[in-house]
Formats: sequence, structure tokens, C-alpha cells
Amino acid sequence: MALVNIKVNGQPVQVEEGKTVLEVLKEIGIDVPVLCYHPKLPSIGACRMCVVETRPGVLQASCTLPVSEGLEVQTDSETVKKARKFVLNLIFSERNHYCMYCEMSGNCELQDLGYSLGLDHFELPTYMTKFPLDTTHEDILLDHNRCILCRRCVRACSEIAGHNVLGISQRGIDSMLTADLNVPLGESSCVSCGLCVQVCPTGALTDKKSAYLGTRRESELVRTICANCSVGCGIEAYKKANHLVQILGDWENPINNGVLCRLGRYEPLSDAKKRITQPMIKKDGKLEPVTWEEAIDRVKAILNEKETVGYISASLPLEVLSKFKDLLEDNVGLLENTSNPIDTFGKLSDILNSDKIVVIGVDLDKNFGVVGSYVKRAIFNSSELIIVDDKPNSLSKYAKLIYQTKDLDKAIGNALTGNNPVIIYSQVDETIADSLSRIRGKAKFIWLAPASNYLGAKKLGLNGNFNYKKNAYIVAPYIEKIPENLNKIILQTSYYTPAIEKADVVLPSSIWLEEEGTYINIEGVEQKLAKVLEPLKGVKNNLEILSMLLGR
Amino acid sequence: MKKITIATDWLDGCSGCHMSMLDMDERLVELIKMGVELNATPITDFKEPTEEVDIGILEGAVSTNHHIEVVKNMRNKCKILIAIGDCAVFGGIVTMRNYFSVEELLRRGYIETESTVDGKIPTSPEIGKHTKLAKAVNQIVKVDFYIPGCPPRADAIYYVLKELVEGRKPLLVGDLLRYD
Repeated sequence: MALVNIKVNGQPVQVEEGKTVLEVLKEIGIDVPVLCYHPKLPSIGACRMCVVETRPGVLQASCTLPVSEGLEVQTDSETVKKARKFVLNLIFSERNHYCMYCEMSGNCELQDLGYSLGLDHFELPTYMTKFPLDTTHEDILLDHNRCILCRRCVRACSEIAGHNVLGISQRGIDSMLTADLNVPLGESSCVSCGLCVQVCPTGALTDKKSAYLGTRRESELVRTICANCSVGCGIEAYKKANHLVQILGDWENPINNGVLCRLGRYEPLSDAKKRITQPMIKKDGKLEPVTWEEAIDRVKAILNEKETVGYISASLPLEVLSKFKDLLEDNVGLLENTSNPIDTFGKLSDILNSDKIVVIGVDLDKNFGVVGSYVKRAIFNSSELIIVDDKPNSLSKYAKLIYQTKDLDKAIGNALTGNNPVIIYSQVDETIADSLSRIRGKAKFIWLAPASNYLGAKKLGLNGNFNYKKNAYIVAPYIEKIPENLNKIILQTSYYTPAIEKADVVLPSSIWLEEEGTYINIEGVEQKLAKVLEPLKGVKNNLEILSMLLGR
Repeated sequence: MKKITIATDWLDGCSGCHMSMLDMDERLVELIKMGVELNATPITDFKEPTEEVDIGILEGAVSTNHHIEVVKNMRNKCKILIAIGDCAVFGGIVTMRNYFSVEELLRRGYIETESTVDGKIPTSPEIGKHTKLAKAVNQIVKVDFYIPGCPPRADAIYYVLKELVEGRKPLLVGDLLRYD
């Protein structure tokens, strides 16, 4: 990279060409206040907070100004300081920025700037117009009164998440953040990815489920992964007093680059399913609470009959899967077992470099939002989307072609005319397996595997091959259906479901937020799940339960 | 020892800022030992400054014609005027009423509140009349120093008074400058 010579506050500095002044200033440790700028978003130079003086009296936004040979900037001159404070006063004078009744107080970039620039009163009268409060969305609260029109949300929604829901309508003082063609957010095409909330510098966009739980700054941050599906996105989980406060996407995780879906961002906070918090044993046809010792002894007694087969969910960490295999001497089957003819998988980033994308039988916006995000971004890079689905599909409006499942081969044939085709699929039935087996190696395959650690389980050799026994030990955080024709059933699970009534012993186990371990995602990337919360009282984590059984 | 007289008053506020002043605790005594003398405050017998004072302190937003009088009187009688708390400094929580007309405000407050039975809007001439908008003190008179916060920290009030008593110009930074 070529170097250019610039002067910062009179000091000569050599910097890389192609960077902006703001980037360079940050690198050499000069603090520049920013508001519309976000390191992960394209800069637009809208708020003028980051101005620097390039010639006496000439102010330019450093976030959009590229460095050039001979450039001289003043970052701390009286003109600069006066301009920044004036800009801040202008922002505070529009709409309602009274911190004392704002939920985001203490977690607000506008407030931070007020403090750091020493704004101890308003120099301009405030603008006393009441703006609407949009409460229509299930997860996101949009308070226009707190909006500073920085357009971070708009850029995040369109250019990073690819959803293109948010925009700005009108001009000047009438400018308003708008969803679609000016509909309430809850009725818009929003897919609840929540990236807009993540980048909002004020209290304009907030997470409803995180409201009044405490600010992020007061919370403890755990950087981990989401184990809700097999994509394995990086998340930042904020917790306080063993309660989740908020989940944000991890910008540094190359799988999702900060983007999440509703399942990842909001589901853990909205989880209202009833947890099992004590071991139970069936007595007179009814499950009765017992101590851990009693339950473990009972399980041990059943296992000693040597008539037990294991079924485990591939949503658990490798360590748990492996220990369960040890416990049942390899006679273990996967609850989510699927046969898939493809065994080499592409990276999600291959979607961005594709020219044809086939999506087979899966509604990405609804079930694999982050993958949907990749696909939408690829479409804006002029990739062609081909959907194969018999049901209505949220991505249909972006599709160049839509085929019925019976025409799968036609769709694949079309895709293979491209230079970089990507094939995305989830459930594999015989037809799909047959079609895919004939095109091995001819395209990049993204398989949305049925459980979060499915590839990990496969690596351990778990599959549908096991010997039938009359008793079963089933380990799954959530169990909907229990295999038929069993005598005694040991169930290690987290939630009450009608299915648990069939069990003879129930061992309450932790959910993924309370677990730690290793996962392998759909790209084959091995990641560590870190423990966010301590298990609920009475609950033990999966590995601990299995260790108790192996230990005795 | 030179005497430094202080008068305080509250406008449309909740008295929380005065509570914060009391929260200075023994530092109040320290200030008094440094020569500070409280002339008139809502917590003393004199309700308005009896003479010209060195420092005037106002809490609350300017919301009625009565408040305007109090503010102007205080400005005339003090050398240095300090606005304390978000209401006096910015207008604060009181400005929520600016989204409604005065009629709506009074009807809601005196008649429509869920716990009110047979309410009526008071009309006594001794009660101030609401202005159309609640405003910060600096929209009525010149203010010399500001201590925002809801309420302002006792530390911030103490710092500002001590600086003034010792003849320096206070500048709120760090934890002393807070909006909530």
C-alpha cells in the first residue's frame, strides 16, 4: 500500500493511502467524536460531528475525507471545538433528547458526547413537536422522538443485513425514519434481525425484551456463539444477576459479521417455555419429584440391565455427545438423523461470490435469517436467485425463477450454467438426495443441517445405526416425540413437553446458554460455546449428569 | 471572614434538587464555616431573598406566570445565578406537558386522573397561571452556571459552590456532569 504524507495538528505523519482521515486519526490515537459514523457501516458524513479543519476556517467530515499527499488537518482547534459543540447543540435542539426519562440513558452515544464535550445546557431552544412512537413491532420499539436521523439503521438494514426495510422519507426538518412505504414497523417486511437496534446510537430503536433490565454497560459481556441452529453465529450475550439482558451480533465473527436473525437475537430473551427444575421418577404412573441421588441410582439400575440404547440430539456440544457415546458403549443414535449425499460444504461467503443461487425447500427469512441475509446481499451484487419450493416463500419476490419441487433438476440445470453456482438446502428427501448426488463437486453446497452441532455429531460417527434395545436413554433439551416400542425411558431434558410423561426417569438438564463446549457449524468451522448463565437451581449441565453416571 | 450569601428557590420541579443540596451532608457545615450564609430557601423561614445575595440557585422549569416573577426577582437580587437540575437547565421532564395544551393539562391533572372524584380545576387568583410552554430558566433570564442532573449529584453542587466561594470558575467534567 502506498504511503502519503499528511500533517496532523502540525505533526508530520506517514499514512496509508486509501484510508479516511478518521481511520488514520483513530489509528494514531486521536479521539474524534462521531455519531453517524459506525466502523462496520459505510460512512455518509451526515452528522458533521467528526469535522476537522483542513485549511483555516474550512471544516470537513473526517469520516468521508480520504487522506491525500500534503493534507493538513487540525483536530483540536477552536474552530473545530466550536463547530462540534454547535452540531451537538443542533442535534439536541431537534426532537426529544431528555435523558431523565429515556431507557437508554447510560447507554447512549449522544449522551456520551454531551458529557465529553461538556454540554451543560442547551444553547438553542428545543423543538417541541411530538413525534410518533411505533410500538407495533413484536421485538423492536421505534421512538421517533429520540431519532437523530443518523441513518445508521438504514445503512445496517440495507447494506449489511440486506433486508432493505428502513429508509428515510421527506427532507430536512420533515425527515422521518420509515419502514417500507411508510407502514408501521410491525406491519412492514422487517424480518426482526434487530441489526438496526444494534447500531442505533440513541434510544430511537430499542429491544423491547431488553427494556428496563439494565444497560449493557452495567452488564457482564460473554462472547460466544448461538446454538439455536447449525449456522453458528457469533453473539455477544449481556447478562446481569444470572439473567440475560440483551444479545447482540458479534461483528468480529466471520460467519455472521454482526448480523443475527430473530431466533438468535430475541428468542433466548422471549423464552417462556416452562423449565424442568427437579429430577422426577415415575411412581404409580405419575412423575414425582425426587432427589438427584435417587434419580441417578434409578438411571444406573436401568443402565445395568445392559438393555439400553441412547438417542441424543445433535444440538449438544461435542463433549456431551462424546461422553454419551462412552456411557452407552457406542450404541447411540441421533434424534435428527438425516442422510445427505453431499459431504463437502461451502462457506457462507461463497454465496456473496456466486452468480446463481438455488434455494431448495426452505424459507430463509423465516428459518435461517442470517443465510437469507447473505442471499439478499448476493442478489444486490447481481447474483440470480432460483427458488425451488411448493410452498409460498418469503424470498420469492427476489427470485429470478421459481420452480416446483418436481422440477428440481431443471432448477439445478439452470444453476449449473453459472460460473459460481451455490445450492442451499435444508431437508433432504429421496428426490433431493438423488438430484444432489448427481452434481457432487459441480457447485458449492450450503446445507442447513437439522441441528446446531450436526456436523460435529457426524464427525464423532453418530448416525442412525444402532442396535435396538428395549430401554432408551434420550438426551435432548426439548423433546417433542419419543420413539415407540420402548420399555423403560430415561429422559435428560430441559423443558416440560407432553412427551416427557412417557418417561420413567426425568433428569433436568441445562439449555445451551448454560452449557459450554465445542460445536461444528454448517461450514465445518469448529467454535467454542461459552457458558453465559449458571444453570437454574436444581438443574445440572449435561456433561455433569453424564459424569455422575460414569463415575459411579 | 467574608460572608457569601446564597438564596435558593424552586419552580416547576419535584424538590429533588434541594434534596441533593441537603445530601451534601456535613459539607454544608463546611461551606457555612467557609462563610456561606443561607438567606432564603424553601426550607428556611424567608421564602424570597430579603436583600441582594451573592449566589441565587433555582430548581425546576419555568411553567407559570408566578415562576417568571420568581425567576426575574432572583436574577435581580443575585450576582451569580445557578440553574440546578435538568428542569431548570433544559426544561427537563416538565416539558412533557408541552405536547399538550394548558387546558388538556389541567383537565387531565385535576379531573381525569383515575383516582379523582368530582375534581375541579382550581381558579384561585393566588395560584400562578400556566404559560403555554414549560421552559428552561435560561430562556427567561441570563444564567451564569448550570448543574444538570436528575437530580444533580450532591458532589456536583458542592463542587460548584466551593469553587465559587473560593473565587474560581467551576467547570463540570467527568462524573459531575450527568443528565440523569
